[in-house]
Amino acid sequence: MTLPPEPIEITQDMQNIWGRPLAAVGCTVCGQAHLIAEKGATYTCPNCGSANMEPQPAMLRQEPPELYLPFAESITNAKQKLMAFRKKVWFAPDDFTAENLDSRLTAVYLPVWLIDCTVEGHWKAETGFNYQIKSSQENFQSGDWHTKEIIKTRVRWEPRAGTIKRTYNNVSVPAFNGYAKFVDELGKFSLDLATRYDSKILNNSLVRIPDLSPENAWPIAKDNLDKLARHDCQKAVSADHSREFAIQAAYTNPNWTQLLLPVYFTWYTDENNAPVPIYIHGQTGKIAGACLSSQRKGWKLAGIAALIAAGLFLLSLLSFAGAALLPFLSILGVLLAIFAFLAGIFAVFPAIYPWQWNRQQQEEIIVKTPANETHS
Amino acid sequence: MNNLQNWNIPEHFHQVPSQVEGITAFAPKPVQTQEHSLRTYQCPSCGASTKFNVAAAGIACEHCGYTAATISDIVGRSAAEQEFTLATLSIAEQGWGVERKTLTCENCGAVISLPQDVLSSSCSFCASHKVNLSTAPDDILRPKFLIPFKISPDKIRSLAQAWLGKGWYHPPELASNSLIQKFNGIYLPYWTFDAQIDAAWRAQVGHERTVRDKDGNSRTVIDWRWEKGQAHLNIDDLPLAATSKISHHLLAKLLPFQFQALTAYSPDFLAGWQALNFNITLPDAWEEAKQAMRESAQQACRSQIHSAHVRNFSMTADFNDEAWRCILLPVYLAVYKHEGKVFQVMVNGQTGTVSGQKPVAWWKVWLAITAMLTPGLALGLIGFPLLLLGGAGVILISLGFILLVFGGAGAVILYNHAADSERA
Repeated sequence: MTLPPEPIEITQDMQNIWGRPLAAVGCTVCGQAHLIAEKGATYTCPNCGSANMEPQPAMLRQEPPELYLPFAESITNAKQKLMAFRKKVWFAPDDFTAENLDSRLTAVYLPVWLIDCTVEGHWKAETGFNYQIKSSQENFQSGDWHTKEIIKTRVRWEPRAGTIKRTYNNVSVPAFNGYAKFVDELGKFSLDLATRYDSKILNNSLVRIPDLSPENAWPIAKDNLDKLARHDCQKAVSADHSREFAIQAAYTNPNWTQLLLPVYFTWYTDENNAPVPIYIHGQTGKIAGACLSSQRKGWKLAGIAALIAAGLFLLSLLSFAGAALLPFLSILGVLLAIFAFLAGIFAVFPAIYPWQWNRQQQEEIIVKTPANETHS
Repeated sequence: MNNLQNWNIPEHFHQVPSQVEGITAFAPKPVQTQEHSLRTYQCPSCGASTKFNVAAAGIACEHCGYTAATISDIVGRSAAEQEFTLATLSIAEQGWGVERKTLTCENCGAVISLPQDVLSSSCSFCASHKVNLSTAPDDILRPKFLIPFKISPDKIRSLAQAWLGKGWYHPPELASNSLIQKFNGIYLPYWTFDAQIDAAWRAQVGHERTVRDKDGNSRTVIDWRWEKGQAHLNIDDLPLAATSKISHHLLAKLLPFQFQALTAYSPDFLAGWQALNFNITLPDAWEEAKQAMRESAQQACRSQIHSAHVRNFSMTADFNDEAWRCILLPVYLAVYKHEGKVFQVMVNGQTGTVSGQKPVAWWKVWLAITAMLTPGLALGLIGFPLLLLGGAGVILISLGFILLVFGGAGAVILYNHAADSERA
């Protein structure tokens, strides 16, 4: 294993890096740290809306990012998509409106490392080759057998070994914790549209401060390079599958570059005033995040329905009592009892729906803030 | 760079083409094959021809007494099986064709021409025993396992003679005369098939119920109900003869063979013995095997129906894990003549079971059939005039009818047995 040959220079002086004065601020609520364009300006946290942003030291590369991906999704389009996103849920919290989400949109660039590297060594693996067998299903109908041929695909496993000397370029490696979850939820970014870095992009945008230096990210980079090597070795022997892949290699000539990915951040507060972050892919407009329902609103509607059910039931009892004098009231009593029953059944739905819905949505939360961690 | 330099190609691997630049690939070498070569069996002591000896369980020389045990793994039912891959079926459909192969005798240099389906032979010029070593593993259809002969040739004659002497309706000279001059030990090709079958059936089943009408008379009515069920069958080593040159009817009577004795193929077993290769292709044999398996599945399903009344029966049988083997099984063959006709006898070379054709003394059979039918007919003839005279004839006619039915059934069974004895 070969680590990057030269250590990356780290600086705490942010007055004149990346082509302009910058300041590092951290949110005291959710803990995320961002680079902002001007020191002293007031910002709210793009992740949780907290105004408690405090200056903090940050470990940053002296060199600016080499590349960035421009925002392709316009704010107007984002608003329409936020409205559709909001409509997915019933009994939404009061703060969860498309207007609120739209007004809180913040353009944020997320950092990612790109590594170029040569992998040179030897490998071995169990490689799987598909083959087909003929089977059949026999059908006995009206005294005759009818055969239906079935072709099944099976895998023949054979050992393979060999050498590898390949150079891989622009292999993505996370520069902050949680990157994999972002990609899972938002989808991949099209690196073909990468543009040379321009300090002007920070005029209206923030940059997430990397958590992972190249040294820290190297194990992930090595894993990614090994995955590419495994894919190529499988392809080299024309196999359909591979397992037990092992590689012993030297990783030479590593070259690290930094790329900024475009993501819109916004947020809303749930019924407990806990911020819930929402993210929009800056290229495709795909929205990710928890779309929560209000349990209080559910209880309220359930309570109203229960009261109506109780009232109808009381009237039904009175009707049955009055039927002793006026027999036709018994028909009214039956009808009222049925309506009372239906209202009672209806009361159950709003009581259960938010609880059930929110359980599923908790899995959608990409970055948990301390607030939504406590009540989720 | 050191990683590349220090790396050694794994043992028994060879380089295979790589589809990606910068990557080399190595795979296990295929096992070396021997195509259509001959092995000649000669005694290392005296130079005479040697052959496989059942008692010695190895190669033996009849001249000087030299013996060498044949070493081969007994694999039993765990002998490797093959799947019905599309590639195999494509090859199997072509069979062996009608070509002959030409081989040169290592002993005397004579050129021997053999049919494709013959695996072993003796040189016509020097009488040395030859075994064709076409055991290439990539030749997937070649037999890879066999059951060696367990019954010595010297015991075969007494087994066959005892079998020929059984049965009262055969000519008595079968037991007394030594009709059979010579038995030939031959390895016959067989396909064996495995399959797991998941069957599901559905039918209308009738359940009888007794009802009484208002007059107190009872009658039976049938209530029809739709019923369904499932059955699972594990069919293991179903054997089917892979040669059409021997009567399948007679071969079926030699079964079963004990597959626990299946042994990895070695040419030693064939030295001095005849061996045939298949001429019934795998797909044809598999169709026949599937038919037998389907019938077994149907029987298993129908056995779940506890009623004699069934209609609209339908079922499906899903075949899974189908597998096959090509093996060689030991059989002794002989022919004998009786009154100018030729009859076959065969003996299971592993278990000693005998089957074959036996001539029938038909006058004995017809005499027996006449004896079976006479009581019924006689009572009927006596009873008929008595019936005209009075009511006593009814009893005799009824008794005669019953005896005629039993006698007729017995006559049919006897006739079928007798006819089957002569059937090839």
